[in-house]
Amino acid sequence: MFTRAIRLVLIISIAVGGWIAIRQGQVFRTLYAEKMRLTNIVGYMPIEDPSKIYVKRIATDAPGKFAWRIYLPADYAEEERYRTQSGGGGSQSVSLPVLAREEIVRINFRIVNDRRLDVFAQQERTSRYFSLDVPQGLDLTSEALFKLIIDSGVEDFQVHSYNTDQVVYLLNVAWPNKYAKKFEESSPLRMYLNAPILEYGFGSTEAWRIQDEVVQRNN
Amino acid sequence: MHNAETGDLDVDAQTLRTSNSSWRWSLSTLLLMMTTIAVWVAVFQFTRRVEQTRMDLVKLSRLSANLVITDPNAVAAVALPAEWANSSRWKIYVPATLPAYRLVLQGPIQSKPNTTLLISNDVTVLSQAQRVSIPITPGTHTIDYEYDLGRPNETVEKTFVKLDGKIVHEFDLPGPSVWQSSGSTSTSDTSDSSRSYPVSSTVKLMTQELRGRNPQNANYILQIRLEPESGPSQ
Repeated sequence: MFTRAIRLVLIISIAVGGWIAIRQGQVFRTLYAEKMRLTNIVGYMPIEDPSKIYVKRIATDAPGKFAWRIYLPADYAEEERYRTQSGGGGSQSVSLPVLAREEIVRINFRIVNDRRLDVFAQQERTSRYFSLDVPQGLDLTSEALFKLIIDSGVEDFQVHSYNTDQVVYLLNVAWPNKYAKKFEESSPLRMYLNAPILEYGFGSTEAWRIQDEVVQRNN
Repeated sequence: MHNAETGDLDVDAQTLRTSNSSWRWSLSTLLLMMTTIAVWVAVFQFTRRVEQTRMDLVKLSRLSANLVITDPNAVAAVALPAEWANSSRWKIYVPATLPAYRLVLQGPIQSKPNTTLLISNDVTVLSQAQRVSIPITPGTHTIDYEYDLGRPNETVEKTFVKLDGKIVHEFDLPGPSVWQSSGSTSTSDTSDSSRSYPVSSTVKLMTQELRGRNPQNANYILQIRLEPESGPSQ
């Protein structure tokens, strides 16, 4: 009698558990499919060491648009810096968050009236918009813009990790050689011939200090 | 059973067997036990995975500005990443149930120079005269608000409101040479995390206040919102 009672309890338990497992399995499959769909948009970036910075370039829907998924560890004070072809530049400190966070950094380019290169950079807490003059004599079409050299070390679509005392360059755009020659001939900005159109990066205050010291030593 | 040495019945062993007989299980009962354990381990595993996936989805939805419709009968909206400065984008969901919704644009309304800005949170201060109302069909839509950046530093800039990529309203707004970024504000009920709003509520997608660059320049206010047919509600 006792054994029968135990069996009955076990059978009921299996039935209830099986029903819950099937339901949870269905919920999980639905959520997992949605997770995969969103992961395809923002990229798969496993965080193996939460104390490091992680960066992964993600695909965008148009040329001239760039985006990166970045992971910043807890207590990381981020400072964004950029430098443009005209020697102009700027920096902006982002407040000190206590928690680790992930965000998307986007940088969009477009040419206006063949004479102006517009750049719009956007992070979660800040955005920046500036225009760069296209030098006289330079026949820069939209098509040519997207053939500009983009070299930052994170231009591929792989996951890159950095220590918190390193500066991370997201974008380093320079004129291609044939445009660089025209750029030189147009003269007024000749001194900046070897300067990129745009450098854009971020790092901690300490990372930028180390970087600045290295640059000063090399000069 | 007899004891080999004494010839007496081994009472203790018999008593022990009798008392333990209820704890002896058949093979089928043991199989049932193992199946029960396996099923409930699966339940706990799935539950843990579902919770973890839900947490991942919250993060991924924010990163991808994904519109999440939690209640098919409620309006939902998420702010999409801006393509350019002074432009804004939203993805919205309008339910098929009543009330019907419309996209309302009020402004730009000019205030007198040397006066304080209008109180943006109070939609009633906005003039009814400068109001454009566009019906929205139920479903998911994209709304864009953008400047024509082809004419920088002009005093008037062409500004567009687009619904699903089609311009539904076009108007002139004072350009950046007229207003100053310091003191000008743009606020919204939406964020990069998807949110559902109570039934029949008004959703202020954007309220922009532009402060004149010079004392002789006027201030401007502009609001884009989703409004139920029955009228604005707070």
